[in-house]
Amino acid sequence: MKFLIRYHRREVTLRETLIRLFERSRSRGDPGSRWREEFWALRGINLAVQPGETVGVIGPNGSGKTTLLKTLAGILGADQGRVAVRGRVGCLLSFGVGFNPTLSGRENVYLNGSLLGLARRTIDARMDAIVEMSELGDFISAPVRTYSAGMRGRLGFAIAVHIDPDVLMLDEVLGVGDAAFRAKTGTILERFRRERKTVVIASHSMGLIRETCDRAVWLERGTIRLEGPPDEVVQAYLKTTEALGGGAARARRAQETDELRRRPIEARSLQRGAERFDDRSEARVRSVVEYYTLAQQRHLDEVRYRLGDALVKACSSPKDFLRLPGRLIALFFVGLRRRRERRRLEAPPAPRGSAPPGSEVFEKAPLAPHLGTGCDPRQTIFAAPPSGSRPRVAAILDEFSRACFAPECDLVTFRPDNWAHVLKTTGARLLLVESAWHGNDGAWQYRIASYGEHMGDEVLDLAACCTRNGVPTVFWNKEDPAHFDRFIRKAGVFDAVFTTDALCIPRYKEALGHGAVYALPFAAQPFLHNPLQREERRRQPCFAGAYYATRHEQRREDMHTLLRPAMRFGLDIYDRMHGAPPKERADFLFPEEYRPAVRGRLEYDDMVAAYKRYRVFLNVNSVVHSPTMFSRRVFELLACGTPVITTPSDGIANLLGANGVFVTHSEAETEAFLEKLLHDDDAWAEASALGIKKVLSEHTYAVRFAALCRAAGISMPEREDPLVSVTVAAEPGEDLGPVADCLRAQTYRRFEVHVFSDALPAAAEIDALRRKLGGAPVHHWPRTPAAQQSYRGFFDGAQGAIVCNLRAGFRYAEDYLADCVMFFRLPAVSMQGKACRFVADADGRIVPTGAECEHRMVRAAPSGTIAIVRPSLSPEALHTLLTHHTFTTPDDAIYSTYRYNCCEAPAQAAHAGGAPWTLRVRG
Amino acid sequence: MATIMRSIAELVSRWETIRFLVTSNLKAGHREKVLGHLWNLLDPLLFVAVYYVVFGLLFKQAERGQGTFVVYLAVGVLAWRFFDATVSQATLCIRANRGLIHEIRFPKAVFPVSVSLSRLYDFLWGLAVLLGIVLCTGFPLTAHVLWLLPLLVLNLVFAMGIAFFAAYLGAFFADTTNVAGVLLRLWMYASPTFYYARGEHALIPERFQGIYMMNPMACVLEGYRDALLWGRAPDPAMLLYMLAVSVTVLLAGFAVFTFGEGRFAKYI
Repeated sequence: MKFLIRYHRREVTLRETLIRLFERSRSRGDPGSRWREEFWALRGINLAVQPGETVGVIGPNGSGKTTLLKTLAGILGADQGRVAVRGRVGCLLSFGVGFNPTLSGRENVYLNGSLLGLARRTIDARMDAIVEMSELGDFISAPVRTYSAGMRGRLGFAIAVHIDPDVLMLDEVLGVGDAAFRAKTGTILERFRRERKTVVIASHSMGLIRETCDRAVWLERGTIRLEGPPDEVVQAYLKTTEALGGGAARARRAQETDELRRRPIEARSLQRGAERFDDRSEARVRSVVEYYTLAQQRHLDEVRYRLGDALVKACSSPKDFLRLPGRLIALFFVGLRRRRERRRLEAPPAPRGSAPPGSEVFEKAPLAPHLGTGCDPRQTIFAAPPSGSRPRVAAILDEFSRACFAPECDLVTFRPDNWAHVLKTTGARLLLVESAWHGNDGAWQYRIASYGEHMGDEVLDLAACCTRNGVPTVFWNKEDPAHFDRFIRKAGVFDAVFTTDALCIPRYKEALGHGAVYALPFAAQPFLHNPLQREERRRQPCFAGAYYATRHEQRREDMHTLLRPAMRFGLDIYDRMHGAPPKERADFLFPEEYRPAVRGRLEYDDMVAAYKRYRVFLNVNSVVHSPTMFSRRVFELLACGTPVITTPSDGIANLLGANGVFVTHSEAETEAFLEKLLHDDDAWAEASALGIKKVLSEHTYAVRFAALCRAAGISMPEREDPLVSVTVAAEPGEDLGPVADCLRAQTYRRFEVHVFSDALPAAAEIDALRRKLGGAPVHHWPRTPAAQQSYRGFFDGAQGAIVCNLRAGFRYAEDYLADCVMFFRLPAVSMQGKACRFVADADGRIVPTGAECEHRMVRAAPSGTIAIVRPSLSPEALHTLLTHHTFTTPDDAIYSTYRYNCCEAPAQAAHAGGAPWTLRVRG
Repeated sequence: MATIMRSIAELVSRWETIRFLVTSNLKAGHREKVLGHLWNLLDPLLFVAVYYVVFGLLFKQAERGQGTFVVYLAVGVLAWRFFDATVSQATLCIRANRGLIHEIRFPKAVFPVSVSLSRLYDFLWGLAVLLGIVLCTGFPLTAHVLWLLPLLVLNLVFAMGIAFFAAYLGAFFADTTNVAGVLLRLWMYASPTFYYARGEHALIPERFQGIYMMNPMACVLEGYRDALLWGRAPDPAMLLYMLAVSVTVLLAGFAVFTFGEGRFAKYI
């Protein structure tokens, strides 16, 4: 018996029909655009049930159990193959759905009975038994709409049992909630067995299947995975579900399948014959889901979709009807533009230069200082440009890299079988492929790396097509040096190759025969990794990663150097291999001495939260001698403000210097570092701040992306550091000299100055300031006679994206403005200040205050430390900044940055003892 | 063909189901109304009254008919109403019984059939009203009234055939109801329901009469009027034409419906 079901769209709407109409007329014969696909809920099923046999059907949600029963019962017709059932089929699939609510229970019994093929006389004869079993009593004459769900269920059950079927289909899955049903199921099944009736039952209750069935069938994604004695099948099934994480995996898969079904488009691609279920088909299913999400998003923007949409809308509301002509004209032009773009993409290749401009610089100095001065301001709210100005990048990335690059560019992703179509419709300025294991949510799994088992070379065609169309292609191997060989074959077809390990560059050059090979280390993405603090840090060290009991001997030695002393400080370990199958587990088991510290394993999202929960993290390096390659976690930790104690690594020393990282060579050294970082608050704060400053200013994905573009020869929209409007309130008779000195010393040069004064304009003062500052524009706003007027003048005249307020009584370090700009790169920071800062105490010593506010959102901070993005500044706020010591917001809107580079103290005091309040990145 | 024959046999074997559906449908229809089954009479009466006011008096058709118009109109409106109600309800009948279809396997044709029979029951009441009107207005009833019986059967067969098509489409496209509403309205205007199509007051020019009478519903209406109003036998050629069309439509509708039956559960 073989059959299959095709799931169709549940509802055909006019909108879809219209869109399909356009779709069909345009892309006929284009195999790349499969907008409609089919979903086989069941396929290739061969099942013979003997008379008198009880067969149990098990499988995860969405595996096709109910569909199988419905097909067997003849409710669904098979699209292919044949179903033959001898005898009358009784069905209990859902409870009482088939009742007519306006008819009484009795009438419904007649209706159901006669639909099932019973003669009126027969129903008459059984009516009493049905009423008795359903326990409805006199309610049997009341309309069914007055019944409770339980009553309906009982009635349905009674009918199904009493129509005396030859074959009974029982879907226990849908009756889960009904206790009465559960209690009765066993006895009824027993009776049917005695009477030698045939039963097919779908259930999640393994006990029920084991006890009552003669045979069990395990369905998975519409095919029979295993069939045989119930005990064996149930055992095998349970084993898999547990290995997959039990309930979680079931739930996840159920959700995926549901998603597939809910797609308004029909879905295929689940057709699998006898092929065993493995990771690959899992990936394929996910790719299908991904594809439809993508397809839907993409289609929302397509001209033909919008055309259909406009027509449908015009039919549904008078307002839209009036707008229709305008929309049609607009769409016409959009269509013309798109067509031009398509033509341009399909045009023959332009002759290409040998090496992209700027590449040389990058090659010689993998991290040339000019790359590190700052990121693109676009990620922050003060200068988010329209997404259209970000370069569109076609990419094959693993999930994590995708999350990191997504804020930097307009990412387009695709699958091996639809890249041509996607690229044709969207276009791209750069092709970026990374050494992905599960590229684009698994769609490119086994297709980037070269394995013994060959999956497909679509990526070669993809790169060739881009090259033909003048789109530069770059490959980033983030797995160097360990997996150089796996990716070298694919890397060869790209214009430029980036590697995390600079030592691999000569190997690439030799293997590829060209010189476009550069280093591109990992980085941090401020959107994901930032110091914004939500909970307290524990005075404990933490280690996250795996322990290799059988490999990497050096690494194991190094780990002891780190972990042994840390145990005495209350170490927490998050073991990446925790909960792995026992077979593999042995190779990764932490030694006995560390096991009490193991806290389980964390998913990546929780990991980032854990970064901020500990004072110190420990890091061990597998690759020691690479000048650029080390764990990406180190960047992420530092960006989160967590200092790292690490075993030696050339890369860390080279890229990060001594900023927030502590290189240990022995257990004694580790112990000293731990002692210092866990118990000396000042030392910890400084290490944390240095790490933040170093990474956020030099090692973000924005910087990396800029480097990629430069090497690929793509002109980025010229990255501009935002202009800062510095506001200063000049007290009567006050000397502007200190302000001038402070501003002249700033490392950040793009600023303008606005001086507000209460006294009559002291022109000489302003001129002196102008002279001292050289080129920077200086504006003067006298606040007499009317302060409001001067503010209005400021709001009209100020050009800066950031307003930074300086006040007398504060000293500012030379990185003060640079820090302000840097902290605006964190997500959703529109005001910052230093609730935590250095002040002079009674004895004139400079001490930190408000440490509990550091990296948190606060209500108030001194006006002299406030910086605000221009759109958030109101005239009232400006007035407060200029006239009050403390600036207060109604809610916690101010991000309190680290304590450094600003000091609230008289000039003499501030510079006493070598200015401990300043902070500059080291080496 | 064998499949169709088997389906017909299966359908016939469910005559009890159909009877039950019809009676429960009719019972449920008036169960909660104050006037209850009185509506069976009131409904057609009021319906005819409304049309008479609009077309007879406002559009002055009554003057032309010289007293025949009331009966002429009643025949047209009530017979059309039977057809219209059958088809528009048939578009909904599959979706309305979604629950049953998902739970039990049975020939779905019982739904369009029971819808047609229920509406036929209503129409029989309408005919009673009609006979009343005929008697009240003083028209003599002749033996030709007996022609009503075969005409009724032809009318039912044709309506049921269209109902099968409507039910089939309604199962796959929820929009069928709306489309059917418009088409039925158009069809009504193309049939001699409330205006004179033939004879001295004819609205339809002589040269279009041939085409006009291709419309099976026009034949049915004129047939009813021959039997009731003009007291003569309907045109035999017309009857034969009606028979051929009705049987063809019914068989084709049933075949199409049976063909799609297995897929209903997937769409609704």
